[in-house]
Amino acid sequence: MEAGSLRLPPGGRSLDERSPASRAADPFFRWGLTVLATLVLALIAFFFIFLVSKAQPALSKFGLLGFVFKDNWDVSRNIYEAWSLVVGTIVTSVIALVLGVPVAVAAALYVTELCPARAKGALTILIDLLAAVPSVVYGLWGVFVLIPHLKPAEQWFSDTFSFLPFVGGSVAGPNVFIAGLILAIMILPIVSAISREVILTVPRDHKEAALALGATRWEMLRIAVLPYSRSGIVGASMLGLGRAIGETIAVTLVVGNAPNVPHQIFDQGYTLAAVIANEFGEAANNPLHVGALIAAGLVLFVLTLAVNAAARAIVNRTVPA
Amino acid sequence: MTALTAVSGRRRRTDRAARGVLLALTGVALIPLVLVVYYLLKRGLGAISWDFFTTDPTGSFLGDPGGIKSAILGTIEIVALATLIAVPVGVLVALYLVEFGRGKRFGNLVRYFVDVMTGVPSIVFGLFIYIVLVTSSFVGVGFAGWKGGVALALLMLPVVIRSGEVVLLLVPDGLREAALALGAPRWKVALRVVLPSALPGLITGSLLAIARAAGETAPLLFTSAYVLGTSFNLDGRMNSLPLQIFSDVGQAQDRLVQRAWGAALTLVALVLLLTLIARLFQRRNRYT
Amino acid sequence: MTDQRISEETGAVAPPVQRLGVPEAAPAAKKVASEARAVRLEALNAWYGDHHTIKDLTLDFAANRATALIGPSGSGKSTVVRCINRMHEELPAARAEGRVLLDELDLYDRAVDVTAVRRAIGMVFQKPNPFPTMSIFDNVAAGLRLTSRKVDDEHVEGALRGANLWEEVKDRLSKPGIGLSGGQQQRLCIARALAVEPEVILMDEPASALDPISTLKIEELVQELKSRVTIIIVTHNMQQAARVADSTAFMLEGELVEVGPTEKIFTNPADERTERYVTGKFG
Repeated sequence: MEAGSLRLPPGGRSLDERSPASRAADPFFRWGLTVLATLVLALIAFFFIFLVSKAQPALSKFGLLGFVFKDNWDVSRNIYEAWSLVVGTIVTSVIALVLGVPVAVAAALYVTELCPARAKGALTILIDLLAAVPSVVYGLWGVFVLIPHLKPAEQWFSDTFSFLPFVGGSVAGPNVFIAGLILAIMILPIVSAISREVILTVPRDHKEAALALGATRWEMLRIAVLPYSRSGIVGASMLGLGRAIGETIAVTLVVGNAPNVPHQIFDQGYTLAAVIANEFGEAANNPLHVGALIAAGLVLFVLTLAVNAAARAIVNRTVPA
Repeated sequence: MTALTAVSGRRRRTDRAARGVLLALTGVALIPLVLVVYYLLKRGLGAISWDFFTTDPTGSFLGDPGGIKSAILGTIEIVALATLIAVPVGVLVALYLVEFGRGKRFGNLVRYFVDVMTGVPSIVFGLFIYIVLVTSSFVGVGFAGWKGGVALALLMLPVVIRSGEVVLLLVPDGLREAALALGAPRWKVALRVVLPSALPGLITGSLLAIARAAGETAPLLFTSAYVLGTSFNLDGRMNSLPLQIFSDVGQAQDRLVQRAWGAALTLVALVLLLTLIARLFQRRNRYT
Repeated sequence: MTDQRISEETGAVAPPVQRLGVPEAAPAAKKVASEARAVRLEALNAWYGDHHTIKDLTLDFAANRATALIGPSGSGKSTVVRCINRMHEELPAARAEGRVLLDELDLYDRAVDVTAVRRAIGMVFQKPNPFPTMSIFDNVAAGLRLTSRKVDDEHVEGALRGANLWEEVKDRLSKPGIGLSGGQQQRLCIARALAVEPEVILMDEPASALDPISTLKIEELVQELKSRVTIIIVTHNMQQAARVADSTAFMLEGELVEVGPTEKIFTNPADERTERYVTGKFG
C-alpha cells in the first residue's frame, strides 16, 4: 500500500495520510490505557470479594453482628467476638482526634495567618516531616521513650483526676492513651496540611472586611477565617480519623494487645488493626482464627472506606480540586 | 483633632493570649519531631558501625546479634520491585485520566476509586496479597520477597496516580493544542509532548511514594515475612528494615533493642534522604 | 543559498515548487494546480454544548490570498477557524456539521483521517506556545517528528527563514525555545507550522499578545507567506486586517454578515451592521 491515501475520498485529491500501522496505534493506545484504568477499578472490587470469602469461616460461625458487637476474643478457646477490638479502635482514634486536631489546626492557623513570611517555609516542611517517619519507628520510640517517661505523669494524673469518667485506677505501661497519643502525632501532618489548604481558600475580602472594622488579628480569625473553614477542617479531621483507624504497627507496639474493653484511659487495649499484625503468625494453621483476623480486616476496611468517603465529600466541597 | 478610640484592654489581652496559644500549640506540634530525632541519634548512633551494615542478623539471643545487612538489601530489592510495578502503571493510569478521561463518567469513577485506595490501611493490602498470592496455589504457596513487592506496589499505586494526575493537569492545554494542530495523533501528543513536560513533577511524586513504601511494615508482615539471611532470591522469604526493627522491638534484650535503634536511624535517614531529594528536585525544576 | 524571500504579492500565483528550498520528501500526491489550496465552507454549523456558535456559514477563502475574519468577541470567528482544521471537535462538548472543502476534498468526510487534515492545514495560536522542553531546532522539527517524517537541517533552516527568524537564531539553535522573546516565540511557532509544509495556515489573533514592533514583523510575514500558502487570519484589529488581508469577512453572532475585498469592506460596506462595526460604533 503506498504511503498516501488509503482510499481516494471524494474530491479527487488526497491528503498526506499516515501509514496503516501508525493509524492502528491510535485506538490501541487509548484502549490499552482504558483497560489499565479498569483493572485498577477491578482491584478494589476484588479486595472486597476476597476479604469476604476468606472471612467466611469466622463470620458464619459468629454471625456478622455477633462478630462485631459481642465481646469475647479468646484465642485459647477459639472464640472470636471482636467488640473489645472495635471499642479499642474507636477509643484510640478518638483520643488521637482530641489530642491531635486542635494542635494541627492551631499550627495550620499559625503558619498561614500569623507566621512571619521567612519562617513559613521551614515550619511547613518541619510539620510535614512528621509524616515521613515510618510507623515502626514511632512504635519503637513509643515503647522505649514515651511509655517509661510518661508513666509517672500518667499515674499522677490518674490519681489526681480520678473523679473524671474513664480516669482512675492503676496505669498500665502500654495503654490506650499512649496509643492515642502516638496516633495524634501521626495524623498531625495530614490534618494540618489539609487545614492549611482550606484556610488558604478563605477569600481575602472576608479577612480584610473584618480587619477594616477594627478587629484584632485573633478576632479576625475567629469571625472571618474559622467559620469559613469549619467544614473543611472537619473533613481534614475525618481524613485523620481514617488514618488513625487503620494504623497498625505503631499501635500494636504500644497499646498492650489485651482484648478487653478499656475502662479507663490508661488501661491496656487492642485494636482491629493491631490484632491482625499481632496474631497472624500464630494463627497460620487455624482457619477459624485466620478467618477471624481477616474478618477484622474486613471490618477495618469498611470502616475506613466509610470515614474517608464522608471526609472526601466534605473536603471536596470546600477546596476546589 | 479627634483621638482614635483605643482597642479595649480586654480585647487586646484576648488577642495576645490567643496568638500565644496558637504559637505554643505550633511549638507542641514540633516537639515530637525533635524528640524522635533526638532519641534516634542518641540511641541509634551507638549501634552504627561498619560491621552493622555488613553482617546479617544472627538470630542468636545471647551472643552477638549481628547487623542489618540483609534488612538493608532486602528493603532495596523489595522497594525496587514495587517501584518498577507501581510507577509505570501509575503514570499510565494518570495519563489516561488526564488525556482521555477528563470529564468523562468513567474517568471520574476511576479517579474516585483511586482516591478510595489512598485511604485503605496498609495492613489490608498485606492481607489481600496474603490471600491472593501467598495462600492460593496459583503462583506457588509461601512467603516471597516479590509478593511483598506487589503489596507495596499496591500501596504506592494510588499515590503515584494522584500526584501524577496533578502534575499532568499542570501542563498547559496550549501545548496539547499546538501538537494536535501539527497533525499528531492523540497518543503521540500524550507520550511525546505532555509526558516530557511533566517529567520533573512525576519524578518528584514517585520519589515521595518510594519514601513512603520504604517505611511500611504491615504489608510485609505476611507477604515477604521475616528471615535472617541476605537473599537475592525474590521468590523466597526476604528481610527488610521495617520488619527487622519490628522483630527486634519485641525482644526484651538490650543488644537487640540497640540494633533496633540503629536500624531505625538507618531507615529514617533513608526515607529523609529520598524526601529531601524529591523536594530539591521539585524546587530546581519549577516549571513556569 | 537562494534567497527565499518572495516579493510582494502581485495577484498572480507564484510557482508552488521550491517553496522552502527543500527537496520534496514525496509523500502523497498533492494536486499542485493554480487553484490549489482554496478553502470553502458550505453550510457549516457548530455547537458548543447547547450553544449554537456557528450558524449555517458558507464562505470561500481564495487560494494564495490572505483573508481576514473580523467581528466582535463571541461572533464565532475563532470557532470557524478551529473547524477548518478540525480542532473544534477536540473540545469535549463540541460538535460541527457541514462541509469544509480543501479544493474539492471534504475534510469532514468519514474517510478522512483528522491528523492528515491537520498536516495539510497549519495553525498559529494567539498565545505563542513553543514546546518548553525543546530547543529552537527541535521546536521547528517537532511537527516533522510528531508526524513521523524525516528531519534534516536544511528543512529546518528553510522553515526558520520562511518565518524571518533564521538570522536571529542561527547561532543558538540548541537553546531552549522558551528563551526567546514573545515576538520571536510566535515566529518560532510560525516556523514550526511552516516546516510541515501546509497548504493553508490559520492564524487566530497571532499578534494580539505581542508588542507593536513584533506585531509589524508578523504582519510582514503574512504578506510574504500568502503567495505560498493560503492564509486565514482572525483578528479583532481592523487596521491589521486592512494592512494584511486581500479579502475580509465580517461575522456577527455566528453568522456571516458580509465578505468582500478588504478595501471595500472598510470604505464602502454593503451591510449596515458592517458599517457600524468598522466605524467603531460597537464591538
